[in-house]
Amino acid sequence: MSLAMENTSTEKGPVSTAFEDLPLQTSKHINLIQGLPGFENLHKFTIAETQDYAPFCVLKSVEQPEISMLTINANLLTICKDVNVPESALDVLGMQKTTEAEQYIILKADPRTQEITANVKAPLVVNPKSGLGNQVIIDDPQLSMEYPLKHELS
Amino acid sequence: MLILTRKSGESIRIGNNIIISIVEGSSTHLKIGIDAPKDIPVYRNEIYEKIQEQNRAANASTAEIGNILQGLKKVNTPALEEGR
Repeated sequence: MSLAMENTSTEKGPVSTAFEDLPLQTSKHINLIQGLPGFENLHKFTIAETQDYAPFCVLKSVEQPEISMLTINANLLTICKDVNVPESALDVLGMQKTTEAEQYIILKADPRTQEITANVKAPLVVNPKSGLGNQVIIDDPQLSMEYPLKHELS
Repeated sequence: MLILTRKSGESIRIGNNIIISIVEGSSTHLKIGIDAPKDIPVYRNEIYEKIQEQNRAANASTAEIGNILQGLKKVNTPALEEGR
């Protein structure tokens, strides 16, 4: 798998917490208008593909660098293929069609089962031209906040 | 918290441009309509709270994810690992 990203900045370097040892590709800046739910005071983030674990990307707060999480481009997940972002959410970000947007899915690991799950119900939707983004809730009962990533690997 | 009594068909205005209307009411359910500017997102609160939890858990689970990825890399590229 490969992930096409527009590189809009020259920032490089390790990320915080457990990802600090992961070498990263050049990162791009995104500005979440509403902040990230759970961290509403944080708006400025970088997102960068990992060199060794492509196509996974690290989302990292600029304002609070110890806040970081792993993501994957939604284009790489079959379950996200036909998902349409609501028009109102696109409009706020200056877009008209879902195809104009970049979408990143936030991943987490269950400490008990060691299983990686993907929040496909609430992608980070970003306008690649302006870098503006929001985490958007997709009103589709088929989409879960804890979709097992292993379903995409089999 | 401000508490107001409203009947079906009545509404509440918040600021200049948010109107919450009681569309239908019964003893157990309320159907409400929300008219707000596009740049003000409207969520079911329990869904928003779940997303907050998911994001906090994602941030807290970076160690586990890092370990899982390193484990996968060792499984997928044993020759590479041995050559180091």
